[in-house]
Amino acid sequence: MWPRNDVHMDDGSMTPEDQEPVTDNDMEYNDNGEESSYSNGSSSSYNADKLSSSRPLQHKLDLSASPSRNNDLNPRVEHLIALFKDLSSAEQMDAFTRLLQESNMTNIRQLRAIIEPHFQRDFLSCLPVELGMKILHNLTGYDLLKVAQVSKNWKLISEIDKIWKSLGVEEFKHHPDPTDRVTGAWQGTAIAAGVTIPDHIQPCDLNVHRFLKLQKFGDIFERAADKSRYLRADKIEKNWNANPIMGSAVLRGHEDHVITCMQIHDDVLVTGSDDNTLKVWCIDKGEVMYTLVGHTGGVWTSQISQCGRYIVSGSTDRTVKVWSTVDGSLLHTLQGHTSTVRCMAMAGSILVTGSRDTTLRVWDVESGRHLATLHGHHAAVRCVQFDGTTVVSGGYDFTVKIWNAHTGRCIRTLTGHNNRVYSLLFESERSIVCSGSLDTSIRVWDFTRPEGQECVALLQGHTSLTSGMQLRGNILVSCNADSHVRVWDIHEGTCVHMLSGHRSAITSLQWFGRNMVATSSDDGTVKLWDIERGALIRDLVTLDSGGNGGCIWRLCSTSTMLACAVGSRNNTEETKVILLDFDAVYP
Amino acid sequence: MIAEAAAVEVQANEAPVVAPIMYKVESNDGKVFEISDEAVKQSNILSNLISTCAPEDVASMDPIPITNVIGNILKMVIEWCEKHKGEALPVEDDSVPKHVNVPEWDTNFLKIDNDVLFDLIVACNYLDVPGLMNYGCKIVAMMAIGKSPDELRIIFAIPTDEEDEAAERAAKEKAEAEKKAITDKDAAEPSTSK
Repeated sequence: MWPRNDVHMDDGSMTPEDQEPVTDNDMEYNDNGEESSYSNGSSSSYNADKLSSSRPLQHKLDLSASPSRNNDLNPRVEHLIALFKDLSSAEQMDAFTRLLQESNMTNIRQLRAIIEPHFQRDFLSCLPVELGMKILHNLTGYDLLKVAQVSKNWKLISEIDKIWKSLGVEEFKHHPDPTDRVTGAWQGTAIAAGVTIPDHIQPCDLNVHRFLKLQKFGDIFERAADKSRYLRADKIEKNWNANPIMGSAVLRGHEDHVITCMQIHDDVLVTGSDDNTLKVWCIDKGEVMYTLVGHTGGVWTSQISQCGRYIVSGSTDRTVKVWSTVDGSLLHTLQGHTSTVRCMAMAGSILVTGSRDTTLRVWDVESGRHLATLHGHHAAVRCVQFDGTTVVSGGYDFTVKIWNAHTGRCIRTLTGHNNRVYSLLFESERSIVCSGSLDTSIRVWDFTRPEGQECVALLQGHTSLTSGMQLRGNILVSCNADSHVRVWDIHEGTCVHMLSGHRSAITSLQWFGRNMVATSSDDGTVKLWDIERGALIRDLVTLDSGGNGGCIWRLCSTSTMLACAVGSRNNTEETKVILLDFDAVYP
Repeated sequence: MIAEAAAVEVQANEAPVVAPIMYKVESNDGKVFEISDEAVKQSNILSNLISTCAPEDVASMDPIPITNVIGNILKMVIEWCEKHKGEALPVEDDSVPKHVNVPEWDTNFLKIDNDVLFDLIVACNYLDVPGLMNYGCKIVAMMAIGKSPDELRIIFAIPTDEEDEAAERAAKEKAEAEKKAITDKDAAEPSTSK
C-alpha cells in the first residue's frame, strides 16, 4: 500500500511510475484480503471462493508486470521517468495527456487494463462472506436472481438462506407444501361445452405438466431452500396473474340443485345444497369422500371448525347438525330453533346460529349442548359474526346487534340502516363492525363509542344490496348485486376504486395474496381483480349460458386453488364445482 | 457598584466550557489523527479500546495503533464518525430485508472510487462501525439494483466463468513452459561438462 499511497498523496494523479506501485498494491491487497478473511472466521467454502477469485487479479498482474520489465531494461525510459518526477502535478497531467496522444491503441488498451481495477471492484468475491451478505441484504429477489447469473462465486453467496429468508417474511409468501392435483377429477379438465377457461393450457400439453408437478422438490430446494421457497411463491403469484392455468377439475354432485354454501379447510371442500345434503370432497384427489345425509330440508349455511374436525350445517328443517370430518358421521343434532337456520359463525368449538325465528342460539359442538338464546331482533337474523366472546348479528329488522355470548345480553343495538342488513364483518381487535344493507349503503361502526357516535363511516355508491365484504387494515372490499366491486378507505370514508366488468349481481368475493380479489357473479363469470391498481387482471371462468340462466353461486379459494359452484335456476347449466389449480413445485 | 460589576464579569469569564476529550489514533503508515470521545462511540472497537483509559491520562498517552488501516482510509472513517457523533448505532436484524436509506451528506461522502470504497468497508468491518458499514453496503447494492448479469460483470470487473477457466488454463500452461525451460537448462549443463 505504502508506495502507491505516497505517490498519490504527492501528485494527486496517475503517473507512469504507478505501474510498479500498482503491482505492489495488488500483491499487498491480496495478502491483506487473506488475512482479513481468516480474522473474520470465514467458512472453508469462502476460502475456496477466495482462491478462485484471486485468478482475475493474477490475470491483471501478468499484464502489469510486462511494462515493469521493459522499464528495467531501458535506460532511456529510466531517464524519462526521472524527468517526469521533477514535474509539478499539472505539468505531469499535461505530459501524460500528450503521451497518450502519441501512443498506439495497443498500448492504450493495455493501460486501460492497468487502470480499470481502481474503478471497478468485485466486492462480493473479495470481501468476507458476512460483508457480501450485508450488501445482498439490500437487494430484491429479482435483483438477487440476476446476481446469481454473474459468476459461480456470486451464485454461491447469493443463495445463502439468510438472505432469502428475510424476503419471505410477508405473510402472502407462505404456502402449504406442493399438492398433487393430478388424480380423480384432475385427470380431466373443467373445459367443456359451455364452459370457457381463458388461458387454460391445451389439454394435450397437460401430461407433461402433470409429470413435472409430481417432482415437488427440485435442485434449488436441495442446495438453497429459502431461495426455492421465494421462487415458488413468486411462481404461484404469476400463476394467478398471468401464466396459463395448468390444471382444472369438475366435481359433480347435487344434481340439478342449488349449491347454497361452500367452505374450504386445508384439503377439504364442503358444499351444502338445497337437495338436503352436504358433500365432503378431497381437493387434491379430486373426489368426493362423504355425502352427509340426515337433514330433511335444504341446507342454507355451513361452517368447518377451525381445528378442522367438525362440519356444522343449518337447514330449513330448523335443525343444526354437527358432523365429523374423519368419517362423515353425524355427531349431534341441535334442536331449538323454530324456523330456518340461516347463518352461523364459530370460534373454537362454540357455535352461534342465526335463524328466521328472530333468535340466535349459542352451542358447544363438542358436547352438543345448548348454552344460550339471544332474544332481541324483531325479524329474521340474516348474518352473524363471532369472536369467541362477542356476537354481532344483522337482521331483516334493519338493525345490527352486539351481544355477550356468555350472558346472552344485548350490549348495543346499532341503528341507521333503513332496510335489511345482508352482510357483516367484525374485527374484534378494533371493535369494528361493517354492515351491508339493501338500503345500498355500507356502514362502519365502532361500538365502543358513545351512543349516537358509533357510526364512524357511511359508505355510499353501491345501488343494491352488498353480498360480501372483506377488510384488511383500513381497506374494505365489497361486492354488490349492482354488479360492481368497490374498494373503500374506511378511515377516510371514501371509495378508492370502482371495478366494473360483471354484467349481473355479484354473488361472492374472496381476497387473497397482497392485492388480488376474485369475484363470482350471476352473469356466469369469475373475474380476478387487482384492487391496488383498480383493474381487471383476467377472467378465470366464463359460462356460455351466462346471461341465459347460467350463474356462479359461490366462490372460495386457498392461496393456490380456486373453487366455484356453478349452476342455474332454469336447468340451462348443470350443477357442479369447478376447481382451478395455481400451485407450483419447489424449483 | 463598580466592584460588583467587575465581579460579575469575572464570573462570566470564568464560566467553564466543556471541551471534548480527544483521543489519538495512528494508522499503519504512521499517520496520527484525533477523534473525539463522542465520535468514538460510533466504533465499537475503538469504544472498547478507550473504555479503560482514565480521562486525565489521555493527553499524555501514545496514539492508539490501528495496524490494519491505512491513513487515508482511517481519516475518512474518523471524519464520518465525527459527523455522526451522538447518533444511535443501527440494530442488526437479518430476519427482515434491509431498509437502509442513505442521507444526502453520506451519499456525497461515499462518491469515491470502488477501490477506496472497498477499503473503507473492510476498515468498517475491522473497527466495527455499523452505521458506515450499512451505508457502504447500501451504496454497493445500489450499483447492482436493476442491472443485467452482463452489466454487473462490467461494473464489478468480473470475468465470465468461461474467461476465468481460460485464464486459469493459460496460467497453467505458462507455469509448465517455465518448468520445461528450467529442465532444459539443467540438461544443457551436464552436456557441456561432458
